[in-house]
Amino acid sequence: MSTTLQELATLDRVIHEPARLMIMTVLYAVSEADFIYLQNECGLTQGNLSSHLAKLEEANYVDVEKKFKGKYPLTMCRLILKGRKAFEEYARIMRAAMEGPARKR
Amino acid sequence: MSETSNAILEARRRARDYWDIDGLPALLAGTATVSYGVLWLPTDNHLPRWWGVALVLGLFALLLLSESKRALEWLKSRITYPRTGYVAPPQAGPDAECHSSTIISIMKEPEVQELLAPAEGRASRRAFEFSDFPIFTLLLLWWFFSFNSWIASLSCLATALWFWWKNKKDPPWFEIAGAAIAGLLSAILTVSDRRRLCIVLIVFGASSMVKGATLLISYLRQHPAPQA
Repeated sequence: MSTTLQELATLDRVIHEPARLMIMTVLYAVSEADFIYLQNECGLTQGNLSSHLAKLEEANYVDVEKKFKGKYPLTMCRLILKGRKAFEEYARIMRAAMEGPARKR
Repeated sequence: MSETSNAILEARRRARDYWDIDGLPALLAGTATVSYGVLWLPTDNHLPRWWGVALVLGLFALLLLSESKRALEWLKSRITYPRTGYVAPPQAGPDAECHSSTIISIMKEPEVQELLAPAEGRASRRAFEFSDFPIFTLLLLWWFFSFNSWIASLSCLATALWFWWKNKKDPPWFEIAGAAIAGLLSAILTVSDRRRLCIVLIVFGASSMVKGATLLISYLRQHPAPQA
């Protein structure tokens, strides 16, 4: 078995799930976003987003904090260093796997 | 495939555009510009302490700028965040660029892009960008040193053409109309050069206010107040 193929088996399953991949992508792009923004951007229901965020928080990829912006309460989410590195590693493995078919085009 | 379809860049662009989505920045910037233009109206080149007046008005501009930022945050926390949430405007520092360049090189491949691409895209609709500053500085210098109504009109016409040329697919019509009206008024009104500048400021500000109000109305229609 090739090394690249073997590497695919090490893909981070926490990130690999499509909804969580969307959340990670948005949080990678911005420094912080609140729950409603993430819900709108990813098109997820409140319960769905909540459970995916809990999984990402459990894996220590995302920091969820309740705070106020003026008088309005916000559930702020941000990617922490471990999550950022995990996302970059995930992207590296995916790229390595896709390099072959992409070059043939 | 172009880098603009990269999911991370797209998310970053959407976050940046999100700041303007409710029209409040345009509305407040327009209000500040109009009030500043109105304040300059009574001043004249021949005032005995002209530089003192200019200094006071300059300080007032700084105050207006900082206060309008606070007012914007206050309005957004009551109008925008409860409806569509909050996102921090993306950082444009070297660190962010370094991260993005690494990830861009990793995620350029079509398959990865297909996997990560969001359902819908939104192009930036900003009329003013940072890259525009040299052009506008040149136009303003030209105008200030020549002090001629036709030069002012040509500057406004050049600004309108620049806005259109820069974004032909989705032209910023409010800014183009503002520049065109300001140019027309500069040519036909017989006022002093300083007052002509005030009129241009007021017209530009008014066009920004109209744009902001239009965006705000459509935003409020699309996103009704959330149920308590």
